Amino acid sequence: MYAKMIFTIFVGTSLLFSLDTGPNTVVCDLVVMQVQAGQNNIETKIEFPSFEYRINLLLYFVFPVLILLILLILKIRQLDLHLDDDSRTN
Amino acid sequence: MEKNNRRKILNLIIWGWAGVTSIPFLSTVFRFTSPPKREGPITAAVSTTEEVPPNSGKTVSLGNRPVLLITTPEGERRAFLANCTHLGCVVRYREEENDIYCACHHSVFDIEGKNMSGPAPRPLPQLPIEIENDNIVVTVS
Amino acid sequence: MIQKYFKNWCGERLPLDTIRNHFKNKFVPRHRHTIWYYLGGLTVFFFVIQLLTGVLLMIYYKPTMEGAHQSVVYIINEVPFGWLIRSIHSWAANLMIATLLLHLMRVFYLQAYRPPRELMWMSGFILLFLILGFGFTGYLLPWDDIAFYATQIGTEVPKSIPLVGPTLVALLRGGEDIGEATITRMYTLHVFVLPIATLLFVGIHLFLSQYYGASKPITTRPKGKDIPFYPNFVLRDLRTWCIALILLIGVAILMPWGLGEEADILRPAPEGVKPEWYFIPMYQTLNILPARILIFDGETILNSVLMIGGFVVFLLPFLDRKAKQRERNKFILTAGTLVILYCIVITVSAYI
Repeated sequence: MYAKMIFTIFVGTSLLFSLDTGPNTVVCDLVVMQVQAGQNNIETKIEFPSFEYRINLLLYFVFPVLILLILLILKIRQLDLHLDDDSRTN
Repeated sequence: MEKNNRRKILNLIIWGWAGVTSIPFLSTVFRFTSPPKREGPITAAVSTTEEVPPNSGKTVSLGNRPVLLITTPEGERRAFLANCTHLGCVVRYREEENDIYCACHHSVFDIEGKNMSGPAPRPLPQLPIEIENDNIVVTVS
Repeated sequence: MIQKYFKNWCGERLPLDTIRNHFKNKFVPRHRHTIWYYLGGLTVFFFVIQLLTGVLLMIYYKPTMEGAHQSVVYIINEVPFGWLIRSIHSWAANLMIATLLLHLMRVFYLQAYRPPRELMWMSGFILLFLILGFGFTGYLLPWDDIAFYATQIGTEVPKSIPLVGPTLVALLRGGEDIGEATITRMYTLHVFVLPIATLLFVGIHLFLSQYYGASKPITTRPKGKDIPFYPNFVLRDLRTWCIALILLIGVAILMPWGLGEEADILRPAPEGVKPEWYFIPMYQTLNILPARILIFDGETILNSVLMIGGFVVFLLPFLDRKAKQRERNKFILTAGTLVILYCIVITVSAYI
């Protein structure tokens, strides 16, 4: 069981770091706000990042949480098994 | 005994991984709260030559920063970043003394921007200046 | 070594043993409805997310007529991950209200409000109104045209309340009409008044939930041993929150929350002005109600019915005499089901 768990973590981590995404590589250059020397370019239309980028971002956030989820479920199972042991001895 | 050890390892992994999980979230928060970077140099006409006669100074704002324009008694024009190099107060030109003065901690600079007395550690950064059709054009980086 | 010293140091100064004993002796009943116990915790989880993302949005948001819409556009377009934070804030708000309503239903159907938990029901009822208040005040803040008109209509409704109505409307709007004064008022309520009140009542609600423990349903038979609250049930809660977080981030990223055109006071109302879905039952009822019923205004009647209904729901634990004797109250359950069905039907009818 632990071998499986460590394998999961290993695969998850390597996937996580192989994804070329995340806050540090995100291209999101900022424009200084409109105050600069009379240039007033007030935008009223919103624009979201591309779908592809968003999918990558999604994986970037979801992978670690997913692994945490698996670990928690393992822990719960461990505790519940322990609980059953208790009820058997009672 | 063995059971306790196993439990300890699992707890350690869970807490460790919870820490890892928080990294993408915390770095997102950090990026969100980091102030936007200033964009490259800004060049703009900030004043007319008439507004800064010889032996006078004027403070203007360029890209949200204060800029001190001075004209020496000899008629030479200069521009400095107006934040005192000590703790950042805005400096002013003194006609009587013919120097640049910071009222916060009494730092005095000469009209070349060099720190003469007081706690200021460095000269005021001088900015490139150009005169175009009676307009003073300054570039701030 | 250090850990042990620290534990001892704290143990001598704080009632840690009492707290530990409390959690050790707390159990959550295990039966076929146990899954519904997660809804309250989920609501708290979403509320915490709202607090965090709300603080972040507050850094860039400007509560002025010129600045409001523009600053939201700036957050979405320019601030790194601004679109994501804002999208999460909007989605979590809706999910929070959804889990809150489901939580309300589970408490109602399992009749968990029966003695001694009357105070939990009442504090929960107040929380419902505070959270709806968040939804209402937050809806206007982006200052887009749909939000503007929804607020226009929403703040018009209390006008028909006898005596206090017009004053109430003026207080909400900060004047006769919706404008800059309304934005700053809604903003103050949204980021200061409501959070403090909500934190207070969440504190009371959570304290009571620890004090009484989870209620056992009247008729359901237990299924195995009770679950220890700590660590078993806490871990189950954490697992649920992980799932909720994945879903939340998923929808927030794949369906980022949009933003309408900037509100313009002079522009005629656009098509499809609708409040958020949780206000639809009220809004739609107002639409289908005739303008006058006998000598009364339709609005006055709706307001009266809502106020009386709210009062009845608030005092439900005292009105349900059967639940006190651990009997299912058929009349109240049927009435509640009818109200819920009405809300669902009318909401669906508003969208098709």
